[in-house]
Amino acid sequence: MIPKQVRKILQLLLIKSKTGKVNWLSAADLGVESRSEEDYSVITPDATVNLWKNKNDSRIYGRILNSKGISIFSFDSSDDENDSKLLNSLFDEARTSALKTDETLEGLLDFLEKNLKAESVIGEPSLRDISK
Amino acid sequence: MSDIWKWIDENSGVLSIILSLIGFIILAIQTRKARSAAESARLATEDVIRSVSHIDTISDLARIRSEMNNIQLALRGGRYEAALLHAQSIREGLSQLRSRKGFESDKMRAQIQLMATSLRKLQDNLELKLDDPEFALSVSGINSNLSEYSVIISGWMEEMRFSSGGLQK
Repeated sequence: MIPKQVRKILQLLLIKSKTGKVNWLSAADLGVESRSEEDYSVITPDATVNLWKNKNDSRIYGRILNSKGISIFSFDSSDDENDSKLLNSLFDEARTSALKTDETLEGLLDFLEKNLKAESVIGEPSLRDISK
Repeated sequence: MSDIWKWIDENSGVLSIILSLIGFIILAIQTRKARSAAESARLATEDVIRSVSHIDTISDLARIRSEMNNIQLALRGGRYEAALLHAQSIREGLSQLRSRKGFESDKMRAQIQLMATSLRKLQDNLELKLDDPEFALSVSGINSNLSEYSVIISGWMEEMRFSSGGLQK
C-alpha cells in the first residue's frame, strides 16, 4: 500500500495533470531507451516522479528520485484497489501529456474538417511515387 | 591677565562642554573612518571569495563536461562499466552545483534534475547491459543526448565566466 504522504503527492499530481499543466516526459524525451513498454517522468526542481508499465504486465510501477537521482521510494499498483485506481488514472494522464495525444487528435480533426470539401488530395504520396 | 583667568573660571562649564563636543566629533570621525576601512576590507574579502567560488564552479562544470565526453568514448568502445562510473560521477557533480550561486533558481535546479534523471535511467540501462549482453543499447541515441547536455553545460560555463566579471581579461 502506498504511504499517505506519497499518495497525497500522486493525488495532487493527478489533479494538476488533469488541467493539462504538467509536462510528462517519455523515456525518449530524456534521451534514453526504456526497458519498459511505457515510461513517463515528471521533473520538478528537486525530485522526479517516474511511472512505468512492463510488457505483459497490467501493473503500474513507480518511484520517486531525489535531487541526486537516487530512488527514495518505490511503489506499484498491485496491493490496494484505491492505489491501483489512482496510479491508472495518473498513468493515463502521463501518457496523454507525454505523447501529446489530445493535441495530435485535435490537430488531425481540424485538418480533416478543413479539407473535407476541398478538391486536393490529403496524405503524402510514397517516395516511390514522387520519384516517378 | 587676571581678567582672562576670571573669565575662564566663570565659563569653565561651557568650555568643558565645547571641548567634550569637539572630542566627541573627532572620535566619531575616527570611528567612522575605521569602520569604513573594516567594511572595505570585508567587501574585498567577499569579492575574493565570490571570485574563487566562481572559478571553482567553472572548473566543476568543465569536469562534468569532460566526464560526459568520457561516457561517450566508453560507450563507443563498449566499456559499459566505465560509462557507468562516469555517469555516477556526473550525478554527484550535478548535485553539488545545486548549492552554488547562479544555480538556486527553480529553473536551473529543474534542468539539473532532468540531467540527473536521464543519467539515472542511463545507469539502469547500463546495469542491464552488464547483466545481459543481449540487451540492446542505442549508443548513438545516448551520445547524441549527452552532446546536448554538454552544450547546455558549456552555456552555463560561459554565463559563469561573464558574470564573475574579469575572468575574461
